Amino acid sequence: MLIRRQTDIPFDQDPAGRLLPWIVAIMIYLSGVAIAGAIALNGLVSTWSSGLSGALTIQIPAGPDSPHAQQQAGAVLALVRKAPGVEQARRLPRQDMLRLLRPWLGEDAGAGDLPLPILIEVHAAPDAAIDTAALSAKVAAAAPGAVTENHARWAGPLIGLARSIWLVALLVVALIGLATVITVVFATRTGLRIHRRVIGLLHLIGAHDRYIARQFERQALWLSLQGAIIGIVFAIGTVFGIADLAGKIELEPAAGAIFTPVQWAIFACVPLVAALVALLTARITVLRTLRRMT
Amino acid sequence: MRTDLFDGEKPVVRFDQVGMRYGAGDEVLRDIAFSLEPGSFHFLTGESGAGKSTLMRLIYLSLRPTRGLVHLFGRDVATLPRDKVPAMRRRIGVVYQDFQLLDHMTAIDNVALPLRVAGARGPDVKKHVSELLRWVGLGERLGAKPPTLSGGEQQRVAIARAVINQPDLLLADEPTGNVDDNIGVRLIQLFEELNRMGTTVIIATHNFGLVDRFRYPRLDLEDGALRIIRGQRPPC
Repeated sequence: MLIRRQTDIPFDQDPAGRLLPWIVAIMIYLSGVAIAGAIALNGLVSTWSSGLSGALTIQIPAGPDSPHAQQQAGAVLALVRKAPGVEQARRLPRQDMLRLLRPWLGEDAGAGDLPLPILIEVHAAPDAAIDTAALSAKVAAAAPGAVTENHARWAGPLIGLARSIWLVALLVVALIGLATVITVVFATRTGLRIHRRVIGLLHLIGAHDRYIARQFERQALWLSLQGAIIGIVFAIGTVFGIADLAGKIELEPAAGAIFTPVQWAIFACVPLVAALVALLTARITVLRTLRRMT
Repeated sequence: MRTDLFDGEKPVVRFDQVGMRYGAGDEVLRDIAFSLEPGSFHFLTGESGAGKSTLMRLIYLSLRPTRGLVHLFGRDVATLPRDKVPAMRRRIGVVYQDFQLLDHMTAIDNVALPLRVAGARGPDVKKHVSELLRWVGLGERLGAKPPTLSGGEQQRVAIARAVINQPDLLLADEPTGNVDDNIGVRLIQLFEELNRMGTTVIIATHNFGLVDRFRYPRLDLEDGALRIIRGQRPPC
């Protein structure tokens, strides 16, 4: 036990009680990291999917083998801007393309004369759809060898993958919760066996089962809350650490921006929920066991 | 056969042909039948192994009889719903032979336990408990824990705990076993004081000096059978 409290039952003599905060701390740490991962993934996927839906990229080959690439790009840009449903079309500057290549090629990405293709970004107007097949045919006629890529075709599998990972994370949290409940049941039953004499005396003095259960549930609440706070603090530290590492490769936003305030509130509630689950588990275990004992 | 000591509508304790055995062994109590009226005072005597402790445990609801009926305060305990048992137990104060004090608690917390269990809180509880501990001569040991108290001091804490909520029935198992005669007399006088306020008292003892001195009626156990020996002073 980390901090001691005065109770009728001498809980500080329980070996199970001494271990409970640390077991709960580990459980809550794992739950916290799983929840944080799921929330972060969800946010990332929704950012990606909103960016992908209604977006097209037209790739026109450039380099020594394509001497007319610049003229073709101008023609494609003109016809795309006239196409129904298109809100914006722009040629991606070379600097932007080099920035995208930098994580793979390093700072020297722009040093040589890389034969980079010409990329044209196309965005649909809100609530409008672009006829990709028709546009693709027009582009191919204006610039033979050009490829029109509809980003929306990636969105479906990506959302499906994200949902699967989200469900797995929920399953992990549920299993960790179940393991916590089993741990509290074990610790409570051990406590009931160890303190059989004191419980018998309390009964003889006139204590109701609820009075005895209250002692155990407060103890479970106290120990679990201590462990849960330790676990969630380490989980938050881990989340910030991972966010910081992810920020360095421009994969994710800074840690503070991973969660919305509501999500932070949910995250902060994890220790309270864990403590409440421990309290109810201890109460039910004591009441059921005492009913069987007498 | 039933032996009625007193007439009355609702005896505090009534045993009807009670028998008790542990497991498959012989009966340690046989055909016990008696009743105790409210406000009576009795000694319970008998050799070691005669069944005194078993009889006490049957009265304070630590055991259920193998046969026969036990009535407390007019209720058949066999048919008492489980949730009503604590209320009945709160009407009974018990001084255990081995004291049954909680070693992790101070003397004052041990004595306050029955009040806490009954839901009493606040400074009045502490004041009341302190006064009682001073009365039994432990005013200087309020904050001491049982392992640091002598046998006699522990016994007085146990007695204080049994009487703190002025029970309707007080059972004391060898309450004078670890104290000198002067304190023993003083403790019996404390029980008499409670008895005058209406508490029914049963004291199990080997101390025949005290039994002879106070001359209350005796419940005498011999080989598991009960015999009533009337006292020379009428019960209150």
